[in-house]
Amino acid sequence: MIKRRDFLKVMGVSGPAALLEACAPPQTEQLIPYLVSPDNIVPGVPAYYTTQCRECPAGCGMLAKTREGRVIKAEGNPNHPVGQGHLCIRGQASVQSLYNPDRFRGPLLRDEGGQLRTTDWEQAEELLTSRLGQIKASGSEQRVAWMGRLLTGSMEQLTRQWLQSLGSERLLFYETFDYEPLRRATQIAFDRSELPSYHLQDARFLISFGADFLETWRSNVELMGDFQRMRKARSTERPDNFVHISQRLSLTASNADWWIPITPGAEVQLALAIIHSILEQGLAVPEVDSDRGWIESLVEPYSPEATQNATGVEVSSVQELARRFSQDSPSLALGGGVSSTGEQAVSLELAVLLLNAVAGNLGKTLTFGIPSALDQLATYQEVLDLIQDMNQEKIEVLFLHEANPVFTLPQSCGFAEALEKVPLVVSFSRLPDETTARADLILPDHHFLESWGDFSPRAGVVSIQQPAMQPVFDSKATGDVLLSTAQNIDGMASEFEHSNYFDWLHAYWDSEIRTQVAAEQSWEEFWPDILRQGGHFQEVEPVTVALRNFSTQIRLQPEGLEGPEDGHALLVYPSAAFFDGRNANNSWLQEIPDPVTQLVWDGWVEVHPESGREMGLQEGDVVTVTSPYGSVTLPVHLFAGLKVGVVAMSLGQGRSGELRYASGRGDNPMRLLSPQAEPESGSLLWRSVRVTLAKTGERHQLVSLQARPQDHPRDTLIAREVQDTPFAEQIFPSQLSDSASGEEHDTASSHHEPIDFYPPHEHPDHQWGMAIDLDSCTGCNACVAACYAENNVPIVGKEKCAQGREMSWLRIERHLHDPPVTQESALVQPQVTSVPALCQHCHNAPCEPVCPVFATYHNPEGLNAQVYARCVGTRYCSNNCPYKVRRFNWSASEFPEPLELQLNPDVTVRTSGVMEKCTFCVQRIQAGKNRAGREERQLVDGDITPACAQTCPAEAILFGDLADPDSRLSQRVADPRGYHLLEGLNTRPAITYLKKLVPEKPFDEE
Amino acid sequence: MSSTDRPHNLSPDPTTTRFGRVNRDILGTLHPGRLYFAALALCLLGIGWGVWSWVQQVNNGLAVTGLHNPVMWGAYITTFVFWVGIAHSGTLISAVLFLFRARWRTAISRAAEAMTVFAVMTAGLFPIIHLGRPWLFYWLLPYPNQRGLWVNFRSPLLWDVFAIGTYFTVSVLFFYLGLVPDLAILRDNSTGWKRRIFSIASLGWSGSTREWKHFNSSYLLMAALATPLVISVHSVVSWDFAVAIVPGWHSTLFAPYFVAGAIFSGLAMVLTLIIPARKILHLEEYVTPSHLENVAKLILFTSLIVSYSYVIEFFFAWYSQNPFEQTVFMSRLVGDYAPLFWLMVVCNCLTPMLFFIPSARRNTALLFVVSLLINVGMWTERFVIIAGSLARQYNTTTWGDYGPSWVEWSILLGSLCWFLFWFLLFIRHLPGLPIAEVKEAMIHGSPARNSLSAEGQP
Amino acid sequence: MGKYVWTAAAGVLLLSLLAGAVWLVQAEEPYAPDQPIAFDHKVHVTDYNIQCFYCHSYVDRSPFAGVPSVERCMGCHLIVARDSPEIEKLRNYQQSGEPVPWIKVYALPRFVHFNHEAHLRAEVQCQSCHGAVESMSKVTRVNDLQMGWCLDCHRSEEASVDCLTCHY
Repeated sequence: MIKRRDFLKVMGVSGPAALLEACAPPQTEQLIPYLVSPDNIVPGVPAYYTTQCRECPAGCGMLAKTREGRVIKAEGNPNHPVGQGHLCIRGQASVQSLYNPDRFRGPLLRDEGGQLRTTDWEQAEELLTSRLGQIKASGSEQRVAWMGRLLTGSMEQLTRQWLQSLGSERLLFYETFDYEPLRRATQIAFDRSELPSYHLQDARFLISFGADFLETWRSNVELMGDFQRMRKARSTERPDNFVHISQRLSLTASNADWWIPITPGAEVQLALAIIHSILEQGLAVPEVDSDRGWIESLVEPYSPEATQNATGVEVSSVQELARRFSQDSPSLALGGGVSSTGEQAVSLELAVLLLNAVAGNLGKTLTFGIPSALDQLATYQEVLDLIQDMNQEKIEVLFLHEANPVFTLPQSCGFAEALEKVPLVVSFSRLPDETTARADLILPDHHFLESWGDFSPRAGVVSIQQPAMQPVFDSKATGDVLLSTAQNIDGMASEFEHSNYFDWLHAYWDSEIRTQVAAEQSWEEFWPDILRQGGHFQEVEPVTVALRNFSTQIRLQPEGLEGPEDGHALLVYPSAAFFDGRNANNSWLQEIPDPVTQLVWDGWVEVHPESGREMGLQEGDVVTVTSPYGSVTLPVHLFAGLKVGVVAMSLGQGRSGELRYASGRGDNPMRLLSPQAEPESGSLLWRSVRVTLAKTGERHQLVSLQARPQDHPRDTLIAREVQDTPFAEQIFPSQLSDSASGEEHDTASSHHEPIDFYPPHEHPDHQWGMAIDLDSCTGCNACVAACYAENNVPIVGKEKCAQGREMSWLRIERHLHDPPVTQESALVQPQVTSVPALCQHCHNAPCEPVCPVFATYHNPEGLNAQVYARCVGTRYCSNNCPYKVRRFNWSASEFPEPLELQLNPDVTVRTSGVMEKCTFCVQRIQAGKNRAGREERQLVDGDITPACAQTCPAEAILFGDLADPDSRLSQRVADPRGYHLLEGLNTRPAITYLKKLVPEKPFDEE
Repeated sequence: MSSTDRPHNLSPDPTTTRFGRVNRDILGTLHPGRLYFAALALCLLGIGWGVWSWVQQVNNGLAVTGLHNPVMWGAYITTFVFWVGIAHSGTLISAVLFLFRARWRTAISRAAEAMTVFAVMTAGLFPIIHLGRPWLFYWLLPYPNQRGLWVNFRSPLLWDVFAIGTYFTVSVLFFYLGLVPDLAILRDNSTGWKRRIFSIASLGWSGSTREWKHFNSSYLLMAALATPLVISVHSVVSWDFAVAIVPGWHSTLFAPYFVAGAIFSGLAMVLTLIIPARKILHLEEYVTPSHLENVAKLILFTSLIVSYSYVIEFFFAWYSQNPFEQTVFMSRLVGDYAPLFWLMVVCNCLTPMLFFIPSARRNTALLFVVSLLINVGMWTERFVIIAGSLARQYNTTTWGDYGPSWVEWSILLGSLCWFLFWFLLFIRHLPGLPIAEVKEAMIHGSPARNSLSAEGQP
Repeated sequence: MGKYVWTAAAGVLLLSLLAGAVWLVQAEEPYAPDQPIAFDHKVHVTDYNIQCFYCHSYVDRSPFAGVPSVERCMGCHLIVARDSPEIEKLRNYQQSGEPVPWIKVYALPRFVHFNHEAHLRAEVQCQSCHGAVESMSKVTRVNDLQMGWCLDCHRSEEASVDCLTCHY
């Protein structure tokens, strides 16, 4: 619980946005003043704190928006090089993990009966100190082990020192998704054991061997930004410059111009074949002349002709790939990714590095000398060693920090069993999970928005993490726990000059960072600046590397999979929303549809329709998936974006325990994986087993928020014309030609001069509008999460989603023109268009005239206003909306305590029975005007940014004033690619969509 | 219908019937037996159930219905249109047929008028029931308020408010006016407090020639005033849909199409009510098969108009070459709404064809069954138009099908009971036939003489 | 016998009209709740001439005028009127670490977004909404903040009357 006084502080002058019901102000409403008014909080005015996102190891910069001491929104920190002001869906949803109603209310202790019961911090720490005191006293070595999330800077220093003083070196930075094969490959090829840095923005041609860099791979927000810069620079004549090679049409693959669904294990051969073809065509750069000999002999057996059978890619395509890759220099090839980590992982990475070398990308788009924090990760092999020691009862105390290995390690590696052998298992987890279920002592850590910290995602970027609010629950920063225990253990206190983590952090930044980067500055100058910037950022000069002959170390026999020959290769991929499952109990992430399948609130196994037909499987059939190591039970989702012979499962669902949003959905694929480590790099073998599927006879409803053609099998014939055209381009036949090939036409209105019965609206000051570039939009859903956060959009749960009662103001419609994979084709055009659909704020809005009470109307600034207080709920407006972007409150929305603290006080929480929809974040428009008024100036372009546009990592959404001819928006809507949704209806939307550029002709056609 | 085709036996034979007996027979209906009270109780039960379901809806929000995005209107609006339709034949029979001098109407006019009033009373409930915040329904009325807010006269929903309001007022007045002479008879035949009430209600009617003159002329005027409403009301209701841009709604055909449908369903409802009524209340002598046959003819006629409209709708969809229109209509023909669509075709187009056979028109049992089928068919028609079109709009990714929930069915049932409840009260307390007019019909056999100049002395 | 009924009817009508009239004319008691501490605006503003902004310090930079923190009250009352029983209450609040639970005199429904800052910028006087607080020993609600009342001013001052100005 929140301490009452803090709560009152938190409440401040205005409570959180109350329900619309509170119509007549209750006479006894109270006015709570501050006891001592905090200097940095002005009630009613948001305060922003620079901090950083710790949802994943990418470490994007973050601004925490607070009101009256409550964090209400997370936004990217524009000063921060990682993310550059943008956040992904998980970052946006981090406020929900802060206010997660399932968080531990305080420390817990397992009693004799094996039950966890609440305790207080004194008792909990006392138990810890006594146990550690014994170990310390006994002087025995390596009895304590720490397995936790990636740490750098002060916290790493503290943890390491703390463990050392307890006589242990066992500090494992454990992340579910490591990059060991790549790190090992760079070791072999360049004698540098570090992850390379990529510069997509400089690349002119990109090949990705299964790296899903738009979802979870490395630093996805940063990479998406770079990717968009690369895309914007490409030529319109030959718009295809991104080829993705994988078994599954992931979000990244569906943003590729060409997708090569390849047999598992054949990636290496394809990479080598491309190198072969480059050398053959004499396109290799002179830098590699010295190595030409061994390279040629290495790739000699892998001519395009020889590999065609294995890879299924025609010779001509390989040659064209080679040509484009070497001629559109600098190009870039990305290797690896979880789902392509098999026995050949290192070989693949080596081949990809070699490909880059041959095309002369080293030092241009691929550089070294900027070590990443990820280099510090423990290998899976080290985890296995730890498990062994645990089993041999060498470990007396095991600390688990922000890690859930029982869930994220292969079940067959026996971590859970080994835990039983550890006398004291201490978890710092905030949420109940599979591991805390087996822990003896739970000391819940603060959420990163509640605590001090620092993190350095890569050399040159050190970000500070500020607490943006009082802790919501009775949690305690792990750093403070370490230091306070240290104070109470004899012989240990002396080694730690500070008694609390904040002082430690200060000291670290003063000694380690200030002296390094700004020795001339005093601490008083240095520190405020750090807090303002969000950390210290500087460019790091890359080093040049030399290629080494690794022909002997590359492993080239085809990759073997365990399991029955007739089985399907199992592909496990990270979930774009849940990462490795840590975010699974986040209601927004559960309700926002999976970007690829559009399914919500569920886990499933993806099967190709053809395989489905062979096995007689229908959508929603529950099957038992069995591997040599275990089995899981899941519903089937027929998904055409798969290589036939492969079934895919995402990691993240299938959480057990009592998580109100996550528990009992789908199953955990880690039950199926082999415990073996990849011999070369010691990484986890993600692609190692074949599985068989057996019908259980049960059925399970999978809910998709987007009605798909197959949901309406009988609406064929003429309906098809509508179905097969993406919504974005659905217009009357007469105009099909115009928008299909985006030739020049007046985008402000329809082509023909519109004939209107009523005079057009006047917009004396502003006319707000938006442009959405479908060529940039990747469909990552970050904007959807931002909208949920900004506008108090309630979640409704699976059942109501199934009934079509979801409340999202902004949805991403995903249009697959036709099932993308026909098995003949090697190079597939994914033909996926992601269309953010929100209120179009039409000039001739069909919803407006039909409202009998003027609850919706066109306001003088071009907004399609919706006045909740006036709405009586006839729902006529929604019937008359051709875009179906209006949402009706079928029942009262619920915000389980303490989620109501996240509500944006500037936005009314809608009551049951009223209509709502996108407002273009009118509260931000009002705030912008108010700011301009305070500064006694006119509004300028860029003053106002809606939540969706603010977070979009691809910068696809642009908001602005159409009445101002010089605004960026006015320029962008003039783009020849621009068109309006359902233009033929003459609704004259305020949103202009820019058409996606797609290659007109086959890949290998000159 | 012109007044010339008036079979001879339409008025009871003067030689066998005395005025006194007319009074006795018709007023006799005012003393029904146990069956009546059973029916009344059943209706009250149904109303109670409906009200309870509605309370559930008010408490838990519209989540208890089957409605969702994109089908925001469903059973409630369907039922609203259905009852408004029922209301039509009342005015048609009493006003239009009166102006046409179709004297046979006397047999059914009173019942029809009563039915109109009750149907409008029922219909009027639904726009309120279907609101998200029904307690704010009065915001749809243009009344001065401190907020300085006004209603949107461009919204068809507002046109409804006025159309239904006007129609209700006029049909109530018309009903009441026709009642006055009979109320006087009731007054003279009753005692005690009833007598007091009837004496107030009958406005001191004494039946003098002068009064009859005024009565007849004002009745004629009211008829003339009511007639245009037959056209206007349902045209306005149809515009709720016609002015929307929903494919399947947006059609110039709707006004005449809905009016015809309304009269069609209204006549069917008249049969549904009058056939059992004449049996139970022993009015076979006054409501003869010939009367019913005439109604059947009218039904056949309107059925043909409705069927024609169905065909034309499809023609529009094809001829416009508008893919969205075509999608909707394909979904009606062969899509998810096909079963309902074909049910409606059978009920509204095929079965009425039976009435081409003269014997079928005079077979009361058959008439009753067909009238029931038509009631079902017309409800289905509105459902297919409303829900079916909403389910298949421009954006295929937001398609979704709809079926009413138990709450919606309960409220529909409740509304039926509510309607019957009033009708039962009516036949219990007021003459089911216009006594004065029946007598009139007895005196003046031939059409040559002007029925309006006659004196009917009770 | 008819006329009995008529007289009865007329009587009923008359009575109901009378009742309606009475209901209309009866004046409503102005809202002036008892506050936990009997704070006297008259003394502070008129007698000691303290500016509104001194205590309601957020008014020119926030939607909310704000009420002074207990700390600020004590700032003066450490010295001023120490022995007054009301100040005693205040001191108790400070010592117990409890904020003073003032009772709102003016409260708007949550779907109305009023901004003090903007109104100050438009040079609207505090008194035009809150009445002559400086002369009130006990603050009384001088108007009920009905929408029509807001609109009158917005119209006469040619401020925006767009719904979205306050409702979002």
